[in-house]
Amino acid sequence: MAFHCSAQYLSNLDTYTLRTMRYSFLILTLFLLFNSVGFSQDIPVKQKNHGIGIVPQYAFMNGLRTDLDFRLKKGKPNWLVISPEIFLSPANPTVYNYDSMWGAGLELQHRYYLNPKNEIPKGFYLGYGPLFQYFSITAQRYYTERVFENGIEYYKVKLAHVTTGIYKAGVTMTAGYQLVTFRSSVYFDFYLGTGMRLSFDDRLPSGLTHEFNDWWASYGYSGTLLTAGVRIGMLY
Amino acid sequence: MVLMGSDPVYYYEYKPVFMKRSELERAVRLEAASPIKNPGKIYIKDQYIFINEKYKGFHIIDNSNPSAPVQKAFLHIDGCLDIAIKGNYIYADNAIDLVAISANNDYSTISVTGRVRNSFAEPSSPDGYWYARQFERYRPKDGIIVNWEYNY
Repeated sequence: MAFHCSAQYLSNLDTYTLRTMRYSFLILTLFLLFNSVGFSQDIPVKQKNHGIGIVPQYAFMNGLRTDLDFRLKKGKPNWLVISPEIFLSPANPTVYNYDSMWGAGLELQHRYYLNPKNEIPKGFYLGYGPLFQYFSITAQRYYTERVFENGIEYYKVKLAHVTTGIYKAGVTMTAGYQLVTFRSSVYFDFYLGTGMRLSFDDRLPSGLTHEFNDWWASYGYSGTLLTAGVRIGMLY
Repeated sequence: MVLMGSDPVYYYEYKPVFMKRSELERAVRLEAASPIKNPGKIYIKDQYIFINEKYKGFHIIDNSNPSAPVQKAFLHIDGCLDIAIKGNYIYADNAIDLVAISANNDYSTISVTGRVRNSFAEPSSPDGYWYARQFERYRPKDGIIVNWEYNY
């Protein structure tokens, strides 16, 4: 009965649908075949000494981070990851309520893969390194200004479009797992870690840092944090 | 992402003016007569009229000839809204302090002879819209509110 129903169902499908299903099946088969070859240990792979990738979650901070991976010494599991970052955003009234923001940063990481025999950087690893970021944020805010009237010093609260530079420095330690696929040329790196950040601004005592210090990913965050994410890139 | 929201910008008609304590105590002085802009209470002692310039001090007016009063000087006392005079001593609120000021008979020279610190609460916003948490972040170290300026 079930077979009869299925046959009847198939017979009712039009030619276009059947052809689409056939192509989909073929593409899926080729994909899996191609992918399985990439994972295969039997086929020797050329040693990969460089990588380039991005960290998608930086888009939530209006940023773009590019990771440049370099093997420090051929045949060794020690890598250096250089991560330049840029941040750019026009007015953002829904999240931070600023007029404009731009920033730049640099993060360095020494990475050690736990399986030193791998020709390609895959599997579990440990990493650590410093970072430095700078953000310039213009926003309409109250701020304190020191003024002199007849030689007497006052501090007046004013409302104006204030541009504040926020400097952030920190260190991060991570552990992760890098999955390499597509003939050992594409990586998916999943990591989890902890770190510290210290931020200060150039408009004390009433800069914007306190407003941008809500949580770990905030532009002006200070304190300890947990970090987690994914990197996607290519090895060569 | 909603956790990241910064404080919205509210618009206040009055904004606080701070002074550091050392500056507050140093700034009680006699100045040249100046125009009356934001008058408050009026106090009369002998032939002199004292008109409060809100949060700034008192205008001293010689009213010996009532048909032609003469502005003699301005007694600068930050955060001042009221005075009392007994003999040659002027008692005034200097923001959160009570000060005693001795003066000669024609109020041409003065000197602070006493100060009782932290006698009063800080002056509050005239329209009552500000509250402590809002302006604390703008307060300089050792800062005391001495004035509220209207500049919407």
